[in-house]
Amino acid sequence: MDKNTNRNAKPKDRKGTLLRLIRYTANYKYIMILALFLCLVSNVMALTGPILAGKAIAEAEAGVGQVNFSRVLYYARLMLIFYVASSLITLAINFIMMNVGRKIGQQMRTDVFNKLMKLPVRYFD
Amino acid sequence: MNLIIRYMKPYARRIAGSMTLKLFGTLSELLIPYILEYMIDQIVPLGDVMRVLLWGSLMVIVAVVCRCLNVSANRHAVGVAADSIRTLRHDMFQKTLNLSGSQFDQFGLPTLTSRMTSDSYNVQDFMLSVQAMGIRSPITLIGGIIITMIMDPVLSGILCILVPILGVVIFLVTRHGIPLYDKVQTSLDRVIRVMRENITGIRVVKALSKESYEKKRFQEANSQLTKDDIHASITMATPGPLMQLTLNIGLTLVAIVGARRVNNGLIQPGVILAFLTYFNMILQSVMGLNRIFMMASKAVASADRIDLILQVPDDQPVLPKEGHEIQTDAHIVFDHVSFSYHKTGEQCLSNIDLSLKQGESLGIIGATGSGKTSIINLLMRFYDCDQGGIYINGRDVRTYGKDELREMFGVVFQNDTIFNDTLFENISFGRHLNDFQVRRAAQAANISDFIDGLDEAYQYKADIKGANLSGGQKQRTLIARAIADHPQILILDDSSSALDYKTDAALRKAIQSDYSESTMIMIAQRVSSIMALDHILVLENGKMIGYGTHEELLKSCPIYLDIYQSQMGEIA
Repeated sequence: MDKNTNRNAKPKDRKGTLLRLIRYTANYKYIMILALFLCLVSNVMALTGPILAGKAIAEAEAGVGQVNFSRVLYYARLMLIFYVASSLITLAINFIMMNVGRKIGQQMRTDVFNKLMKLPVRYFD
Repeated sequence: MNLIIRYMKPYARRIAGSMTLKLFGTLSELLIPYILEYMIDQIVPLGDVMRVLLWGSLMVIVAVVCRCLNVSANRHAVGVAADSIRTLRHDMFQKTLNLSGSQFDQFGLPTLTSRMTSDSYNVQDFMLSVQAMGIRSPITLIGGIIITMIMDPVLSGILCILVPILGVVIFLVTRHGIPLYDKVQTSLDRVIRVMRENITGIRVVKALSKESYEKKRFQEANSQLTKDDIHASITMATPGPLMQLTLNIGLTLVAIVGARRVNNGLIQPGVILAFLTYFNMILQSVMGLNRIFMMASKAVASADRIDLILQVPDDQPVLPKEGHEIQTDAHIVFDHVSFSYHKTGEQCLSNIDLSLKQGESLGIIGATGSGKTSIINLLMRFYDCDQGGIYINGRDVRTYGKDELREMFGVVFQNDTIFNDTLFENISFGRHLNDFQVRRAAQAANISDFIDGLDEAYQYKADIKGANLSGGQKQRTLIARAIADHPQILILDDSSSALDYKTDAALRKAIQSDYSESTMIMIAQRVSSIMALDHILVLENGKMIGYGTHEELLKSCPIYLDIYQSQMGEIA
């Protein structure tokens, strides 16, 4: 019960393992590129939100009776569009990535199992 | 829930301390947006840079204090959770070790293991979150609503409408989602089971060329798991973006309504900014409460499972000596003993009657399932007999304390274990035997030559279950362990099965000469092993069909004669 259960053990051969993991994603590379792109878009939109909010509030700072409502509403509309779009895209990304991730997991499990079936009996002792 | 409270109670003071820290940390966190609002609306218009810097540094200080308090509280929380669970696991381990035979059978090994591991993790997670978030989330929620109400009731109204709606939506999604996770767990169990079956039964699979069949079976379990996992994960991933969207819609509304109210001179612009922060904090607290709630239901279910084991009553109480003694000079007495494992099933042993004096030896022989090991199980009080009595030194075995009783024995079980430790420790087995005792036992068990031949000798480390030893080496080590402490009663249950005739005979000779004061009971398949013993018991279907010496049985017991002839062949 010593080395096998050492929680601080670093993975051996990090680079090799990482490369092998990446190879698993090869089948899904187009989907993943799409997901990455969507992620980018979603994040940019989400980041724009506070900028727009800031602009809307800046309009409010004009003071009593001086607030230009049409501009406030303009910014508010933009904010809503961006936020809703961002959330929808996030949901889509979640859906895609859950699928891809779990499917890769399934592939890995299958590969391990098939490999086990091929190994000589000696390995199991 | 009782269990969780029980195990956290000893740390009540520490918990109170960390929760107080958390309280102040949360309050100071609530203060920050308020200071911001004050700064923007009152200080900045004054145009005095010094005062802005002053208040700005105040904000920084409050933020630092908040962080320190929270981190310190979390540290204590982690410590308390870890300590509680350590005690809990220790109690579980102790209880599991001391379960009676029938109780252990009732639960089974997989359940006991998973209760000690995954169930205790769930409880630990909850203990941690309830301390870390149990104060923070409700206080942030309530405090946040109160402060926003004070700042501006109308804007706060937006919050008060959105938050409950959101809470309900999340609650519904989560409630739908948790059973989905149970399904994932079941599917995962199946996948693990197929994997485990194939690993332990690999020889069978290969011998029958069933690899592709097993691959298909695994593929089915695997894809089912993936499907369930995806379903559960997607369901549980929806609240996140939904919350974010609600937050943002709320912010937009705040911006619009806030702008109107500023226009009408009802509030200051800084209030809008503060509200943005408070909104966020309140939303996080709702999410936090949701998480605690989820964890609580998992933890309570796990705690109940653990408590089931802990509260199992002792079904083998120690009886008083009076009324449970007999007059005898025999060491071991079985008096009309009958027993069955499942009280309604077939009798495993019927009317077993025997008597052994100190130092004598008994051999038990019989077909598979004839009840040989059951006699040992009753003698060592792993189970209690249904009728009759078993007496050691004149006292019913039930009148001895469990440890007191079992210390009298040295045993090699039919399915015994070598542990992942040095050979020395495997023989000494925590009894702190000295070098001489261990070597003497190894010598008698005929394994000292092998051990001396190893580079590390007695410090050679055996693998789990002795995988780096041969069957015969394992058995001889186990025998050495059994005899090393000169036990009152020595029990060898089919422990020579991997030894050849010569080694077996040498072993019996060594026990006879060096460990003769032990009363020995040997269960064997080979007549040659038990021929020379003082008494021989022949069992069939739990009944005694022969009891006496070898010569007596050859004449009186046809089955014994049969076994003898078929095993000894021409010589007989």
